[in-house]
Amino acid sequence: MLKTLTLKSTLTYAVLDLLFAPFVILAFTHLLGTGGAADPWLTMTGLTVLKVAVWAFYLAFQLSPWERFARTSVKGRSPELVQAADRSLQSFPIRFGIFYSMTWIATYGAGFLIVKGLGAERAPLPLQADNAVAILCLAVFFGGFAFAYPLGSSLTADAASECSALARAGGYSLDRSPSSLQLRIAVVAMSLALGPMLWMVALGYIKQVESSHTERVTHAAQVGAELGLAISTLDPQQGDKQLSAVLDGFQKRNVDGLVLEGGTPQGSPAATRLLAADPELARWLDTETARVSSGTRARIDLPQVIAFQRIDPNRVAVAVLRAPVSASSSFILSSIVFTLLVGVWAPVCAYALGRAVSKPIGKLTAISRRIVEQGDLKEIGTVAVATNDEIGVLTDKVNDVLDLMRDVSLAAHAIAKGDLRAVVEGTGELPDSFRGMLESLRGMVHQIRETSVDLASAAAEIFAASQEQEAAAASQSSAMVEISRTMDSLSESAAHVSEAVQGVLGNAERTLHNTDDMVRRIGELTSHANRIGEILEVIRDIADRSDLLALNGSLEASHAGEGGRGFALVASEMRRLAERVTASVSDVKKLVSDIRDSGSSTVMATEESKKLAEGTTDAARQITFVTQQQRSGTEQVSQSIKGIADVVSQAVSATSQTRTSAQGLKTQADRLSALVKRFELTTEAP
Amino acid sequence: MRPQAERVPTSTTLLTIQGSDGAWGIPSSAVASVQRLDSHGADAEPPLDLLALLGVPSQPDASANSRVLVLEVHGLRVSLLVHGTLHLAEAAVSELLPLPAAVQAQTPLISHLAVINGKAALFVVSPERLLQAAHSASTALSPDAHASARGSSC
Repeated sequence: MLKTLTLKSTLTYAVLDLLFAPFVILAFTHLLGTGGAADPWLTMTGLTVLKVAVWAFYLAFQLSPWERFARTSVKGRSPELVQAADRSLQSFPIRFGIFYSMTWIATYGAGFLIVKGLGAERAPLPLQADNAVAILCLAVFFGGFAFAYPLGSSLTADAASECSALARAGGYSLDRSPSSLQLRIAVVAMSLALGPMLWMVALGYIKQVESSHTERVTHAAQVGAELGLAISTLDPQQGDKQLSAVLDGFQKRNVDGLVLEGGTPQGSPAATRLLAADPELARWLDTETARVSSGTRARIDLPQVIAFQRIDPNRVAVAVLRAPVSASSSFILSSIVFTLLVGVWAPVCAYALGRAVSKPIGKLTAISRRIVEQGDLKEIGTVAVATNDEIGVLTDKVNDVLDLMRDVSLAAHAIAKGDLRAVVEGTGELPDSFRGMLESLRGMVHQIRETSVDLASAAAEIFAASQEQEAAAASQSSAMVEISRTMDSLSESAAHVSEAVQGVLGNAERTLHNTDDMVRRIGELTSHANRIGEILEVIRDIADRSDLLALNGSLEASHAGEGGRGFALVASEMRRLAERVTASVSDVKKLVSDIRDSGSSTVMATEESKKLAEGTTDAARQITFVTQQQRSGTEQVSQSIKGIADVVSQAVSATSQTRTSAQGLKTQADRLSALVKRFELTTEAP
Repeated sequence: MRPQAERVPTSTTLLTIQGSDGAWGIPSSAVASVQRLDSHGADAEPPLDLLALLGVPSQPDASANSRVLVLEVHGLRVSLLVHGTLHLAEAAVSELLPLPAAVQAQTPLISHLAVINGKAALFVVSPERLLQAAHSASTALSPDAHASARGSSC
């Protein structure tokens, strides 16, 4: 078993090639008139081997995408890989068929050129050989294509089917262009007809040319004998005048004649020029005339034939017949007509054959298309069965499938109208599945009925609940808005309080500052009072000393008697002054003491005021802090309330939507219930 | 023993002491000088409290003016601590009334009662008796008694 498609195809084509090649080479060499010569055989054999190598390489190149696909594991076969492989398989038959046929043309065209290149001496070929080889090439082209194309289709069919199956399983499409079976049959049939036909035309044509050559050689020998006889009968006395008359008569028959007398030509100037221009011909004449009395020299590639006839020992008559080889015009005409007839007849026959095959297939295709594209089963009648071959059996089975589909369609139609009592007869997977589906549908409809009733009831409840919820949410939303306003007002009041407290705090701080200043000043006053007290003590001490001094003075004055009376008065005044000073000092001391007491009281009161001011300051700061916190908290609460209000508003909207949805749901449930009531169940009580 | 009556001039000058415990008078002729208590020399003999000598229980006013009277009689000196306001007053002899004997017996250091403007104004202390009593006291009293007398005047 061959492992790869490339190897299998190569071997198949190679076997067929090698089977046909010897016959074709044989026919070719005979066509060229080389007969059993070894050189053309070897040349064509070598070219054939080269041809096989070339198309084998092209075949491998064409099928390389498929081979890549085949080498890839199943998991790794991507859609692109499958599509590329399928493209190569789809194009392989036509491309390889044309290439393969072209290799045939190349092989025999090259072979012909090689043989022709050997030269006229070794392989003399008529001019018509070119036409014959051209026709032969066309014949091998059509012949090769006639089997290469269908063989390619056959070889790649399995692989293309595998690609198609993979694409269908993978859910992607293949890049296949539309093609016509009928056209393919016509092309193959035409190739099949034209190949052998052209082959036979080529052979016939070359044989016609060869026959004409044989004919002209015979004719030249006859003309040569006639010329010799005519010259021999001439009167030598008449001289050249009679000879010229004879030669003129022959010239009218496309024969240039002359007489070789002692090796010197005399006669037609054209013949004389021919001898002068072709020394080989002159040598041949010398040799042959010395050896035999008559002879002919002809080559198929030359347009004239030379014949001689010995007249007497000294003279030889030479006739140059101007008659190129040719095929008969009737053959050419009949060949052209017949080729054209076959060229038309073959496609017509192929069309008729293809139509006989494709028409029932076309009907089946149209029916399938209508089923798939329109789904119109009622209008599709039974397809007529015309034959009992494979197509007839296929048509019959398609009719069975149509009947089954029609039954299923009718049942489905009834189901669509709500009649679930439909019955599908028949056996097989499709009827069984349909009956199962119908049974499931009955159960489902029953459940939907019950569910739709429950759904309508639930929808009504949801509707009522959503209405209540919507009203509550709306109320809540209003409350939230009011709370938000209140919080805004509270925040504003807190701002005012904060500003007022800021004022109080400022006043308290100024009071505290003033109190501290007052305490400081009172301290200074007390210090001054103490200093005054000290000074007063000094004054009092001075006054006391003055008093004492005055008293002692008075004592001394009293001791002095009358003489000291004046001094006593002075001392007495001095004592009164001292006593007044002392009394004033006492008063001032009392005042200073009062001032000190007042200062102490003031200090105490100021300290109390300071404490109060500090308390006020602390309280104001605390109030400011608390107010700011309250304001911040109030703003946060206000923001939260606004957020809640938004949420509540959204909730109102959502609830409204829910209510609308519930209403719609109820409507849909009612509709569903109404729809389900259309179904008639066999299990239901009438 | 009853004290003998002394010669009394027609008028005499008294150094009066107006204190919270009464008014007292000492003839100015017996007073050599008046000193402040804090100016009394530290080396000198501590002054004797007049009221203590007179036997008057007293509760000296702290705010009252304290003075030291230096008496000099017949060359003898004694310092007396007094509390009150000191003044010089001229008293006629007629205004100096001797004390009854019974009273004199109880108050040997008081020589007269001065009646000024018809009212009993003050008791006049006899400098001589006072000096005598002071000397007697200073010799009879122990140093502790001096300290006690001194301490009570502070």
